[in-house]
Amino acid sequence: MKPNDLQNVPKAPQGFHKRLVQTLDSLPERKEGISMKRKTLTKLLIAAAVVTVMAATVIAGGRMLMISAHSYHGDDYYELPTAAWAKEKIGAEPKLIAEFSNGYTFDHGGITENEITTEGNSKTQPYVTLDLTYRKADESVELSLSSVPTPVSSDAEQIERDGITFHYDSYTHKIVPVDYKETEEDKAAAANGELVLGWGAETVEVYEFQALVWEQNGVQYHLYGHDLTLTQDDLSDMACELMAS
Amino acid sequence: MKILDKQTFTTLVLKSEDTLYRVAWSILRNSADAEDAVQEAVLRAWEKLDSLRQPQYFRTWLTRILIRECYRLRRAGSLIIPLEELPETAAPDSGEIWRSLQALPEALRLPVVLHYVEGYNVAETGAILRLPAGTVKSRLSRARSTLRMELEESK
Repeated sequence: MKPNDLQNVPKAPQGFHKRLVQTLDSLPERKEGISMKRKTLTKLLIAAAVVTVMAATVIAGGRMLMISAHSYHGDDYYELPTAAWAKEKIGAEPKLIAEFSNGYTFDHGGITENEITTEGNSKTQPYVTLDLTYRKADESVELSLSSVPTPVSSDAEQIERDGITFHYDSYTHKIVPVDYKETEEDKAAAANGELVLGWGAETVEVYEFQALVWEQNGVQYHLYGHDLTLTQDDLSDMACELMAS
Repeated sequence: MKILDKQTFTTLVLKSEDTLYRVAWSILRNSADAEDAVQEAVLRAWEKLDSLRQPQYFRTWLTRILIRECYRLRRAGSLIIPLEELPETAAPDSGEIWRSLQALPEALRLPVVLHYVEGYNVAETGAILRLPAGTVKSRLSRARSTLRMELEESK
């Protein structure tokens, strides 16, 4: 038998080729010293955690089991979108801001398609979230916009300010490899609402997570990030500044 | 050293498309998992592109990443399929030798797929599998004997 001797070996199926092309098209541009996939994966996992943890209550149609989210790098944008464009994407017109007075500036954004699965395995219509990243030096904070509100955790602290009801939550977010075994400590912390575990990282990554959630004029806003130097009050200030813009 | 640009990377990956699918399938034994493994390997390869020291060995390097990814997936999801359960249609449009090949133990199957199907020489096969050349040759020899017996029995 010689190399390349075997005849009639299978070729990759057509569906596989299509999917491979999509994967290649969606590869992020490489930047020096940054692992783009890991940052994107982390952001996706955190985004999923925001909506998952915030959904402790029953919603119409049954208890929410999970939200599936997919984002496509091909839809990334690097200029602040207009309110009209955003309205076209999410179905309601949000407030947008290019730069906060504390120095956080719009860096880039993306689009995520989501689907909620409720108890009984029924799914909602897919809906779109706009995700905007604001940067200041080495730190970034995310602003996520949607016209489909996800329930807010009963553990979240409620704050009234400038006529808006804000919900604030914070916890440790631990992202682990797929073969990670949950410890008793993990379980106890999760039961207390102090820890959220996410699977999919290459090594164990631990973040301190904060999120501020509010709704106005048909848009639900999530302002969140991990390992922020921003306090709860700082986030509230940013939210009020955004809504007044 | 210049790192490959996205267009070149894409071209090289698509040229290796059939190889990647067949190698993944040989380990994971089903199409859906093979597809997942290849997508994941491509993402990892793009992320780790600066670890490719010599671009002329792109295919070898990518195949190695893919094999690691297949094993990782298998560990994560318990994808071992007993031989008796391999569906008849697992390898569509494939010849008798290909079917017999799939029945080989993986330690023999993978070197055969890499060397005889995908055309890697012994040294390249050893580099991908992290095996000495002597071990690769011995496994190829055992695989040929086993296949010969299987093919004779099936006549």
